[in-house]
Amino acid sequence: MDCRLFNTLVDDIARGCLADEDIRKAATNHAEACLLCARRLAEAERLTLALRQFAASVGVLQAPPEVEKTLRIRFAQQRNLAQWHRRRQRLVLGAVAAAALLAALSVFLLLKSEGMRQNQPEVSITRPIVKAGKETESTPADRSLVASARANPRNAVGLEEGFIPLPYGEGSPAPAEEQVIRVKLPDSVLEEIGLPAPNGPAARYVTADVLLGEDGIARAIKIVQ
Amino acid sequence: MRERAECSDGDLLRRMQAGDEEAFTAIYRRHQGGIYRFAFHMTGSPEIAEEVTQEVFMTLIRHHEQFDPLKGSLQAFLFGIGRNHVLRYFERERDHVSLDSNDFDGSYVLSDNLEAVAADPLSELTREEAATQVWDAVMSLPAIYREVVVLCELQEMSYGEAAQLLACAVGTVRSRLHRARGLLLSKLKTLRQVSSGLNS
Repeated sequence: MDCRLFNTLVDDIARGCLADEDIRKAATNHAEACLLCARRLAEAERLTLALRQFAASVGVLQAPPEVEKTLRIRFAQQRNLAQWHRRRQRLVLGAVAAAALLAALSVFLLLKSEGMRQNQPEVSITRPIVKAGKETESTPADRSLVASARANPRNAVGLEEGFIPLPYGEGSPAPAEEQVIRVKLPDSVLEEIGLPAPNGPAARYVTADVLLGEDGIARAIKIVQ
Repeated sequence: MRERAECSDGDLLRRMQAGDEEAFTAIYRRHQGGIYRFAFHMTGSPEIAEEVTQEVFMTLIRHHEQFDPLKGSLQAFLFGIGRNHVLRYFERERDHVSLDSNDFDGSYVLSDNLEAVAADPLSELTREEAATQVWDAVMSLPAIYREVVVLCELQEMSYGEAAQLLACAVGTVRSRLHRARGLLLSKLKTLRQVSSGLNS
């Protein structure tokens, strides 16, 4: 071992942390033979001793107890804050889920009602002809229509007036009072009663006058538009 | 509490994350001493050491999810936070005295240090004087040398332990310590000469 190598090891030797026994022995032998390296080692050992004495004089330092107390308070505050955040997060998530569910339900109901509305005929009474045996607001044409209908529905709602007798109204007895109502019907209804449905998207609904008996059964129909 | 003391850091941390205050206290008691001593030896100020210790554990409370056991131990994580606080303190206090690193050429070898060896700067000092002068010498070291002296000499850690805490190679710790010890000897020699001059 030469002085240069010894110099790289002197701190480890002085600190007692040179693990390799052979190297340590070689270094010790070199220090015995070399006065300069022996002094270097002695100096390094004294420095180590001084540092350790200094560390011992300082003692085992600890943070003051107030630090622990403060930190425990902060920990509890932080835990409560985190719990509050978690609760709030759950509430927000719950509210969002409820809102989404409500929106979905609303859309569903809206679509459903729209579908029902499209499949049901729109009914509006436009021209009451006879009410409780008393003719009101009826035109002469209406009155002749009613008289004709009383005698025979098929004849009464003949092609002249544009009324077409409905099949299930044929066997019914002639009603004492009739009423004409104006309705909007899906074109599919025309097919059901044996009439040709108009073509084209604009003709999805047709406006028709329906002649009702006092029993509420439709006797005849007239396509208005 | 004894049961807590036997728990691993990982177990305690999991309990702490679940809101267990006792687990947090156990972690604190286990690690606060090393962090406080490091901060104290680095800054020389008990107030700063207290502040650093508190900040380290406040960071653990607020950002415990940042600890990744795959990257290192909890001790290294806490120590790294403490070290950053200390370095930030140094940045704020730029007027601290520091030895010029050129005072020491990295080698004790031969002729340049003959005089220093012969002078034997520590031999005539009383223990109290020695402690004061060692303290002054340590505090005058640049931070990167001071921290290895604090860890390896004052806290008697191995090179490996210090390297883990400083997140550097063992060889780096070893070479920095070698240089730091050389600087300390130079400083102690200077202090001794000043002291002798004042006495005479």
